[in-house]
Amino acid sequence: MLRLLNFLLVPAVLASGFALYNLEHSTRSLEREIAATGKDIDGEYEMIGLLNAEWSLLTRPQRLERLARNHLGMGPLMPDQIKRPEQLTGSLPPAPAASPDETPASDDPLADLLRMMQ
Amino acid sequence: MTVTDPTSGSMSSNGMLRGHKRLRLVMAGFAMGLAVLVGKAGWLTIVEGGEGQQHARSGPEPRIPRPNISDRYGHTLAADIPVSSLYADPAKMIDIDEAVELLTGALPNLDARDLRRKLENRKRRFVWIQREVSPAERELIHNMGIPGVGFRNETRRIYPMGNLAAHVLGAVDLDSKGIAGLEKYLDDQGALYTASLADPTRAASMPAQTSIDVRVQHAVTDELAKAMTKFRAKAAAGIVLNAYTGEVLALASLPDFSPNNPADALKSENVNRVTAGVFELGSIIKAVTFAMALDYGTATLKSRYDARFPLVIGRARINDFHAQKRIMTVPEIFMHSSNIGTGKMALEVGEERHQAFLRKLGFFDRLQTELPEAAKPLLPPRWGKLVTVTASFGHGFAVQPMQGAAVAAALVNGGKLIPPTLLKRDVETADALAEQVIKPSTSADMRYLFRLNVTEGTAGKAEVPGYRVGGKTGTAEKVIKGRYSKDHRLTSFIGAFPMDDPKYVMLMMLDEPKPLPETYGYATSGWNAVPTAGKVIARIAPLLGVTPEFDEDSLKKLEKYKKERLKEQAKEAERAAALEGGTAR
Repeated sequence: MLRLLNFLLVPAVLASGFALYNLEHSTRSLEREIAATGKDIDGEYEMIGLLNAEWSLLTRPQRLERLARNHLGMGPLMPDQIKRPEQLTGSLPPAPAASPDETPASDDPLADLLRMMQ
Repeated sequence: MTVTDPTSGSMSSNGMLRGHKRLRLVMAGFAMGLAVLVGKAGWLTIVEGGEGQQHARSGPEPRIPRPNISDRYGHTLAADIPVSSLYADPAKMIDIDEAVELLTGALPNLDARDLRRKLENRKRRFVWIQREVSPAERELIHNMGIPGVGFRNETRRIYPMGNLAAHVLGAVDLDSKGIAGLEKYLDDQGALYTASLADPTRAASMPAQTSIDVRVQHAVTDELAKAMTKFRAKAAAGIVLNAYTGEVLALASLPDFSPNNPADALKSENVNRVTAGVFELGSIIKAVTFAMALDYGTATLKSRYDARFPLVIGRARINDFHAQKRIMTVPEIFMHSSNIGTGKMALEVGEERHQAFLRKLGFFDRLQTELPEAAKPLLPPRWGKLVTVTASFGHGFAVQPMQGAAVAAALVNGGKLIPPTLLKRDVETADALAEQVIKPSTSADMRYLFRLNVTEGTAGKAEVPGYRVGGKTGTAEKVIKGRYSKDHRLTSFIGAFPMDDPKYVMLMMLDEPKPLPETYGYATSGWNAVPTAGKVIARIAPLLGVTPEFDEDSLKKLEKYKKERLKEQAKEAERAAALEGGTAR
């Protein structure tokens, strides 16, 4: 009886040992993966910080003003360049007269509108 | 090897003995092996261990991480960026010649002789080769695989916007300690600081968000710098405040410095004139006297005062700069900035109440914002009749310009004095801190006076058609060698816009502007500080979302204004182009 139990236990020990080893191995590899991902995340945060600083460097108002003046021909805003929505109605192009026979069979209404305005 | 047969059943004594001997031999072998292992491990941990730990600690302490600083919309103003620094451990060097050759090849600005001298000192275990190596160079050197050479990760404080808002930010020293401005303030604040210490690289460490708007800050700095050059002034300063929250949107003081060179931050000419200096603000203080007289009810907008003769108190005679020599109404006194009239209004209120009012406005105490640089007001030692008169037009006591701006905000926002702040704040918090110092009706009267002074009075050049600017000018004579000097002036403008519901308050100041031919030889505020303020308002009002509104009068002015500004801008662009062309060549 005891002998039979021993015979059964030996493979059980072997099997559980193998299972344990496997589990530990996969845990270790997961841990490595977590550590690597954590490091990657840190790296990304660091990169975000760097890129933010660079963005800030490139968009500093001193530089933007110079670029806008030299390359876009822009200058300070005059008070009358700001319009209210109701002031815009006078500057809109007249509404296109849409006639039913001219309605083209295209599915791009914006393109149609542009064509009609021409 | 003889194998005893267990199945034979005969336990020969010879076999037993042999087995015992073999067991002992094996045990002795194991014991010896174990002893060697234990001995070596002991040697490594106890004898060499202490020394090894010292190696790990050699070299400088790593720098302390700091929270980023951003403007009110999240633009980074100060950041810690990681950098790698190259070091060597000469004791681990194998071939110094090769190392020197490879390193000077990778980093061309290294001095070969200097490097060799450093590396040949075998006793040292840590020498810096180069601080702050670029990532590309780091990669290159890493791939060379020179023994005894390594990288240490450090952080470096950078200010990407350069000089912009330098006085707000302050600076840090080499050990990452704040030495001025908000950087110093942050060091004294536990919470923000420790939050960043806990997790410096993660998003969990929030930036310290200031109330500054970089666009407004730039417009103010830029216009002040132009005015400083044009009028050959010694210094200039400007503040823009949100009238309802006390937030400082822009704080400029020129000459300024770049926080990237921390040594410049502590130079005396670069002092923050807005909070670290006190000035006799001059006639802009008249607005305070008017608010006082109107609030106590000793004067109304319809009261009249006799300004025909100088005001004589004891042996002192108070005269007017633009003498009108007539009986003036309160708005007229304001517009002509009459010292006599203002003095009489203050005398009517009385010395006691005058002092109490100024104390209520905080002029007698040091104003402490987040900035560590805060100057104490200079007050007259005794307060008599003459002091009341001179103080009524801003002479005889000196305060921080920031105090003047905070009080001006209270005069126009309905009477609430809100302590100014450099950190972001909402209206609810501000209301909880606010103190009602004058009646809302007095504030309405003050708004009327400020606006009138721009449409018809001395501050006319601050007008930007559509933006309803209001304000008061001030020209104070500076005290040079104990006497008021006629040629050394401090000109200022204090104002707000849009005047029907002032959201923004500003103070502009020029130190010793010189008269120019185009200002007809005048160097008073109306000719320098006021037009500068006008230009600033024209630039910042659209940024701050103030909608221009035109009536017939301002539409008429608009054409003339546009013509003048366009002419001026063309001139400025020419000058800028010439300057850039000159530096490019």
